[in-house]
Amino acid sequence: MKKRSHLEKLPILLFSMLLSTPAYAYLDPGTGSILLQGLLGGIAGAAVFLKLYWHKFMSFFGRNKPDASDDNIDDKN
Amino acid sequence: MQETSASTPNTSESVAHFDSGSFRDRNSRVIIHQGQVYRALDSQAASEWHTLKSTRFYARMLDNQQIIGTEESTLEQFHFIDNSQQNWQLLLKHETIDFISYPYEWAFSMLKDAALLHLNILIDAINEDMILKDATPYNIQWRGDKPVFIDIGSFVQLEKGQAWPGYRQFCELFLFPLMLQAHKGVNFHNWLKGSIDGINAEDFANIMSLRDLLRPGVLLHVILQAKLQRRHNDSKTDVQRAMKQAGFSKQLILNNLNGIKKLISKLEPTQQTSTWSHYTEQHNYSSADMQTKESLVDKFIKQGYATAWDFGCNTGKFSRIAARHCRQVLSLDFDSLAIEYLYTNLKQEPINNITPLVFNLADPSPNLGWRNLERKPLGARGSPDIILSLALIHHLVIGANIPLNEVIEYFYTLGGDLVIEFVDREDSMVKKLLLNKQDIYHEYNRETFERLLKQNYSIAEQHTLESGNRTLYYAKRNN
Repeated sequence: MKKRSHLEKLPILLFSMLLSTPAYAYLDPGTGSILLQGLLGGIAGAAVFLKLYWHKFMSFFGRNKPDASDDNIDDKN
Repeated sequence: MQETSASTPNTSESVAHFDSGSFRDRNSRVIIHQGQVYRALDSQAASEWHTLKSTRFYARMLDNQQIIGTEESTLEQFHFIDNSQQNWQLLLKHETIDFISYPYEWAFSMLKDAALLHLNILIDAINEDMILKDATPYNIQWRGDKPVFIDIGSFVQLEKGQAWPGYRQFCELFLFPLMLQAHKGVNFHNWLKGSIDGINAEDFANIMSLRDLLRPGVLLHVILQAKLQRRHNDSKTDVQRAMKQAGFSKQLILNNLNGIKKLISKLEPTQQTSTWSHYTEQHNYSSADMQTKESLVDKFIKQGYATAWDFGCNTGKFSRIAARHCRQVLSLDFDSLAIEYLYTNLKQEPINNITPLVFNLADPSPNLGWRNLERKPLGARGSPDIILSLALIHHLVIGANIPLNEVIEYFYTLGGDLVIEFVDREDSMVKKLLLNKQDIYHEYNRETFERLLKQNYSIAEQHTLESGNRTLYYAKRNN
């Protein structure tokens, strides 16, 4: 395959950047399945998972935070 | 760039008909026109394509024949009557695949190899900051016994902090069907044949036993996924954004993918190889009869046929003979273990034009999906130049109660000439089939068979094997 020069690649790159939208696919990835991917990523991923669940974890120990921020995961209830 | 909208077509343009199974992804749709396969891309998909074709992994996959060959074509050759108002920007032309098959027609090891191919492609893509937006085995097809990825439109750029969008689908259509067969000893074919989206986590979790919980991956991929899905069913959180903010990275996807790859590599069908031995030993022929049969089939197939469909192929003895002379052979048998055996053997052999498929004539692949048009029955996907039906007809008529005339008519509707073996009532297998059944098969005799055969075919040659109970017919289709 012919190698493109960086200059040749530039318009494609700019075009791609312009079109860059949030990468939500047509497929519903499932909230639960996305969350699980934190755990499945190994130790570092588990930290991500825990971070998402932190407020619930704290509330379990009585340190409730009434206004859970957007970063946290809502409960079905 | 061409804007496409409904207008009067030029004489040089053909109306673009989108394939009825290609609509879920709105950015990229397949057009089948005069035996050629095209893909229309909108601006977003065109941009992704431009990125993809400059990557190293794409070039590597092309070299290894793991991805379908693709070239840019001209959009102007088609007139688009598209009520979805999509603005198509680019047209791709793909290499064609001889026969489109579906995962519920694959042996366990075929689905497993397709899964591993998907994971390898995904890992390579992620390393170059692209990802696959879906994870369906319908995006993989077979050239002979080699899997090839066909959905160019599935590659998108990976955003920082993005999760793997296809994880759930991968589980439903690859991982759980494989686990079903490996852990429960249940064939996945019938489940997938009735459910285009595969096996959902909750259903699968419900059939897991205590013992299964200890098997690798079950607790996380099955049980926990089912629980998390149920819990966050009507979540109002933008979980993708939350993950990103919590520090999710592509390395975490790669860790997960490598874990799943290891998990799948270790899955095996429950039946042991030792049980396969009976396939090679079990037949009702003297070695002289078998030799005669082989040389006759070779002689008939040699007449010049491009495609052969071998129904009831068993271990593929006659498929291999057909493969010497035909461009492409489909080896079909309802016994998934026979197809598993054939596939795993073919992988070790230099033959590269046989595709083995699990197919039950008496309970065939259905019309499936939206409007019953997303997945098609066998006859709608191709037509053979010659059909082999050897040591099969008694199983259909006496075993599955299908009237003799209907069997012959069905072969006729599929197309092509026919090499068919009639097995007399005196044959030990026929006697065995009739042993515990009322004999309602009065039409099952050689005279009636020949009369029915002659209604649609001309018998070019026939030969009764030495044992006297089996006759081979070479029948040419009447047009």
